[in-house]
Amino acid sequence: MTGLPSRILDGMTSNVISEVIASLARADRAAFIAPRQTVSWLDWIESVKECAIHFESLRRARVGILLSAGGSFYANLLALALLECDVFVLDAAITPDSLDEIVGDFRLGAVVGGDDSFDAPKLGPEQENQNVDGGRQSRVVIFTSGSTGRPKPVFHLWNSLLRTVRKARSQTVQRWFLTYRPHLYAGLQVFLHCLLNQETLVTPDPGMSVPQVIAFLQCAGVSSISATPSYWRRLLTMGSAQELARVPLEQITLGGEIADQAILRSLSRLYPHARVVHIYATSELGRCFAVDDGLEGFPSLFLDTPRDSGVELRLVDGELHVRTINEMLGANGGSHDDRSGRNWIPTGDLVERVGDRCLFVGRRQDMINVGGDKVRPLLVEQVVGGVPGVRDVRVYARRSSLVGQMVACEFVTEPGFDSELVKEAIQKTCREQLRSHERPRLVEPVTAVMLSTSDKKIRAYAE
Amino acid sequence: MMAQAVTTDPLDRVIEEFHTVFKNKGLVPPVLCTETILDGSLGLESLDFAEVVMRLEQALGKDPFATGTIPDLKTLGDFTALYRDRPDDRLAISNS
Repeated sequence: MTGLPSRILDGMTSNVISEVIASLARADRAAFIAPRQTVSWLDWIESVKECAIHFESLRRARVGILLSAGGSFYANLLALALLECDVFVLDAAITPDSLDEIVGDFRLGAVVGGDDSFDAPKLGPEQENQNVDGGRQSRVVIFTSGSTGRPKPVFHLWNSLLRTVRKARSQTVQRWFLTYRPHLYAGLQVFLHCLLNQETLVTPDPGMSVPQVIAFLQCAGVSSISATPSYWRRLLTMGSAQELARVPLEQITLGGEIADQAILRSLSRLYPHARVVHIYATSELGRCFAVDDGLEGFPSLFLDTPRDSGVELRLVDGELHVRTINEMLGANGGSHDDRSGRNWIPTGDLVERVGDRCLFVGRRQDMINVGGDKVRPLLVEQVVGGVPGVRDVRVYARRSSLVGQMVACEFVTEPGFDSELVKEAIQKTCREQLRSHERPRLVEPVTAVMLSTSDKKIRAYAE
Repeated sequence: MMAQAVTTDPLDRVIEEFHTVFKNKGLVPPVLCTETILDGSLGLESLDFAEVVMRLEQALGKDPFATGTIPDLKTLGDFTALYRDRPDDRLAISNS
């Protein structure tokens, strides 16, 4: 801490982020590992401080940040947090039009673009440093992935975001692989986990092929991965199981979509010594609960019993509702008493209670409406997935002028199977096991199923 | 002019998609022609017709039912005519 202007140090003692930074001061272990660069926490803290000086003119402003995975981008983010900006975390690949729209809608004073644009951003002509209002905490705004519509802003406080980060369980320092897009809630959580626990974040280059990703996982010594089940299915489908098994994984965290028994089983077989956890979290509710008993769904015991994390669950008409103490500010960024955990919030996730277990059966909005009859895509995926030769399947809605929507599916064939024969077997099985409106009317072999930008299967999708 | 109408005629494609829908249902496709009456006796239900229309939209890029109006259809010829660019062709084909 040498030679810093005193105003920076003053700023750094006044918020939760500065405490975090201070706690890292002695960590000389790797903070970020990218294919061509490793940065230590010590060096990274220096760059955070440099960024904070550089961005001083933005203190307490509303600022957008185009966030890619990489130490310099995260340094910008933390610098803005130190400067008590209201930070709007944006996709680095955002189109100029969408960016203009967000800048206008949220009256952003500046947009910080990452490490290649090191000119101090200027505040727009009508912008003042807007969030100067005494003791109010600065906010961080994360947009939902928008896989099911327009991205929605969700306002958080740094405190609330940091509170759900778990203390590292392992004695050994974990190397976490970032599979999520960095600007989305799940991606930020992985970074914050590494930050608070002084662990290492391993970031792939965009556009790496699956074999390249696996080789990178091996050589970077990745020990923990947080990913969607669909991400894993893609690794398992397009990568070699033998090579994957060489990645020294100790912890596998699944989230973002339903972790079914098949994927849990495949992962425990491939990594018998790893802890496999599936997490239930949403951009709006934060982290709600985690399950690590190797079974899909969650224990019915979780219902109607307040969890120690301050999260309560209940079922209303088959839909999971959550009440949480995590301090969310709501989608409008309004006062936080509105959403500070007093209300039950419907999640859109449909749950079936089978004895002592609750199983996720799909998203309410993913229901396919075939001439008034509701079809659960997941049910159809289970039937198709049970046909020999089917490695992966996605069931989705196809627009129909006569009945609204019809069920369609695409599937990936196991190596050694003929996709035309598998297709016929799928159709036969569906005729036998499904009702007419549930039967996929289009069945198409593909090399990989379509995923959203946040690596989830897109189901409510009418072409 | 006739030759042109025949080469672009959607009838073959319509029959092919009907056949696919029969096969997907696990049924042996019957012989179909322009005079085939489209009703319950054919062995197809309304969802199966919706499937034919969806398949034809995929194959021909055209969905005559997309406007929301469902014209009075009796035969396969009537149905096929909806997929022709010029309704006049219908006579030429069915008379040939």
